[in-house]
Amino acid sequence: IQSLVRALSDPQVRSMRHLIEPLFQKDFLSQLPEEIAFHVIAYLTPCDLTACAGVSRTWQRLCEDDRTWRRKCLDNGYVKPDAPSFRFLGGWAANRANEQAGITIFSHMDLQEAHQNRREREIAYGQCYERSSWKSLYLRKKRIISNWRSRAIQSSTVLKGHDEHVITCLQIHSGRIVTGSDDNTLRVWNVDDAQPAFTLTGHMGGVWTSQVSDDGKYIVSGSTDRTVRVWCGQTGVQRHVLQGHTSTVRCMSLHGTTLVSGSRDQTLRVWDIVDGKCLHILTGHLAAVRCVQFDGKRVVSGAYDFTVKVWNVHTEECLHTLTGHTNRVYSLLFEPERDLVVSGSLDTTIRVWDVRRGRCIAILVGHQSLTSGMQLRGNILVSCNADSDVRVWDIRDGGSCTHHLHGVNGHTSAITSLQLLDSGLLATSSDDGSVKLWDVDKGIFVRDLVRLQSGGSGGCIWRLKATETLLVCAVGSRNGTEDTKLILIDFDAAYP
Amino acid sequence: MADAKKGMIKISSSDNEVYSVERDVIRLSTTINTLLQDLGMDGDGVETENADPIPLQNVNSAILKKVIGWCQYHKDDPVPAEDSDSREKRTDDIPSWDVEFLKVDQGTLFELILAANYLDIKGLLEVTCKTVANMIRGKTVEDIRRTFNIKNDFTPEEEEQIRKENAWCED
Repeated sequence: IQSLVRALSDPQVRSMRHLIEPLFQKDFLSQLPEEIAFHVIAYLTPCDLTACAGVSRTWQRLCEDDRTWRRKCLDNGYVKPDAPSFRFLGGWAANRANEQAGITIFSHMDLQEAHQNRREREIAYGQCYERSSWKSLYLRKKRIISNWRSRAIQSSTVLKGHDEHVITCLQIHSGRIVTGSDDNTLRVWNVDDAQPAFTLTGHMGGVWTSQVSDDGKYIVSGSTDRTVRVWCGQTGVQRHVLQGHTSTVRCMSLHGTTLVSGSRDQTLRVWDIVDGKCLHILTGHLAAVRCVQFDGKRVVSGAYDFTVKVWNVHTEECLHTLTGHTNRVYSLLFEPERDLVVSGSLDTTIRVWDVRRGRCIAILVGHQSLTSGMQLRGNILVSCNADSDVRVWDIRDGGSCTHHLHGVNGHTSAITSLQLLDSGLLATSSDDGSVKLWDVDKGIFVRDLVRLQSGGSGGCIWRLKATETLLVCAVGSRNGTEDTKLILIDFDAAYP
Repeated sequence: MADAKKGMIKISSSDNEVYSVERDVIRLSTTINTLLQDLGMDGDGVETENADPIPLQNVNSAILKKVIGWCQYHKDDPVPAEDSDSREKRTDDIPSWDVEFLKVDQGTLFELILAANYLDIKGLLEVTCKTVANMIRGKTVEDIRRTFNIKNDFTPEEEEQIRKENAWCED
C-alpha cells in the first residue's frame, strides 16, 4: 500500500483521502444501540438537541424523545404543559399603551407586525408539539424568557380607574388584578380582555393594604376607616366588616383563611375571615405597626417603635423582640422553613435575623435611605431603596453586597417596588416614571420596559407586579400630570 | 489483602488473542467480574493461572488491548456513585489522560463504546459517550452532518419547519 501511495500524485492522494475518510466516520447516534445513543444524548444541552433534531430523520426521532425533554424541563422547574394565555387573541388589541398617551413601551412591535404575530399564534400547538410536547414546552419557556430579555414587545394595554387617586396596593391572582386606592375603593380587573370586572365599595376611608386568598375566594382589605373588610373574590360582594382596630389598618398577611392585620393603633389582630370573628389581639408594640408576615403559627411584625416582634399566634405570646434598628421598620420578609426574617428600616440598614434564637445574624449596610421592597431567593437578597439604587446581597457570613445596580442606566428617583422573575431577572419600578429590567446573577442592566413622558414632572410608577408572562404597573401622579392607570405588558409565547 | 488478589485472569479476543490481566484490573468490567463470581474463581487463593481463557466474542484484539490499557490506568479509581441519572450532565470534566487516550478515529471510538457496553465498564462508557457528545456540542446542523458523514434525508418543507423551530432556541 505504501508504494501505491508514494506512486500517486498530490491530487490523486487528495481524492483518495476523500474516498477513505468517510470509512472512518461513524453516524454514532444511528448506529449505536438505542440505549447508548440516549446515554450520549443525555450529555447534550437543549440547544444542541434542537440542532441535532435537524440532522436526519433518525436523529430527529432520537433527539425528540419525550423522556429526554421531560428531564430537561424538570431540571429547569418546568413542571407541566399549560395553555398559553389567550389575551393576545384580540382582547388587548383595541387599546394599546401608546406614545400619544405619554407612555413609551420600549421596542414595541408596530400594529401590523403585532397583528401578523397574533395570526401566526392562532394556529394552536404546531408540529413540534405533536412530536414532543415536552420539547415544545421547553422552547416556549425559553421564548418567554427572551420575550422579557430582548425581543420586541408584542402587546400592551392600559386600564384606567381610580380617577386621580393613588393606587396603594396591587395583586395579580389567576387572571384577575386587584387594586386598592385612597379613593376608598378596590377594583378588580380581568387580564385577558382588559376590562374592569367589579368595584369593591364600602370603605369610608382610603384603602392602604389588601390580600387575595390562595384559592381566590376572598379579597381582604384594610383602610384608614379602621376596618378590615372581607369581600367575595368571585362577585365582589362584601362579606364582613371586621371592627376592633382603633386606627388605620396599614398592613396584613393572610394564611389560608386566617388573617393578621397590623394597625397604627400599635396592635395586631388575628381574624377568621370565613365567619368574621376576631381570634386574637397581639399587644406590645409601642408605636404604629407598619409591616407583618404570618406563616399560620408565627407572626412577625415591624413597627415604628424600631423593633421587630415575633409572636406565637395561638398563645398571643411575644416570643422575641428584635432590637437593633435605630429607626422605623418598613418592610419584612419571613422564611419560616429557615427561621429567617429580613427587615428594612428608615435607618438605611437591612437586618437579617434568626428568629428561632432571636438573634441578628447580618447587618446589610450600603443603602442611603428607606428600603421599600425586598425579595429573598436562597441566600440572595434583592432590595430596592428610596435612594434610587437596587442592591443584591449574599446574606451568608454576616452579609455582603454582591451587586449594586445603578449608574447611567439606573433609576434616577426613589424605587417603589421590585419583583424577581424565575429566570433570574429583576423588574423594578420608580418614582422617575420608568420600569427597568436587571439580570441579578450577572448584576447588570438588561433593558428599559416602560417610560412615562411625565416622568420627572410628577409621573410615577407606584408599584409593579409580575407573573411569568405578564407585567402590571400601577401608574399616576400626586400633582395631576398623569392619570391613574394600570399598564399591562404581555410576554407570553405559544407552543412551537 | 492486595497481595492475595494479585492473581492473573486470562481472556481471549474474538480473533483468539489471549491476554493475561491482573484480576484487580479486569474487575472494572462488571461483566467479567460477575462471570468470575459465577465460576467460583473470585475467592482469595483460588488458582486461576491454568484455567481456560474467558472468551470475549464481541471484542477484537485491537480494541481489547485498548480496553485493558484503559482499565490498567483506572484500576484504583473510586467506584462511581450509582445514581448517575441525577448527577449533573457535564462533559468538560474528562480527565486529560482519557482525552489523550480517546484521540482515535471514529471507528475505534465506536468499537470502544460497544466494548465498554458489552463488558459493562461504567467509567469507560461514560468518557466515550461524553467524547461523542463533545463532538456534537455547539455545532450547527451542517457541521454535525459533515463531522459524522450523515446524509440529509429531510424534504425542503421539513427543513424549513426545523429551521423555524431552531430559531426558538436562539435569543
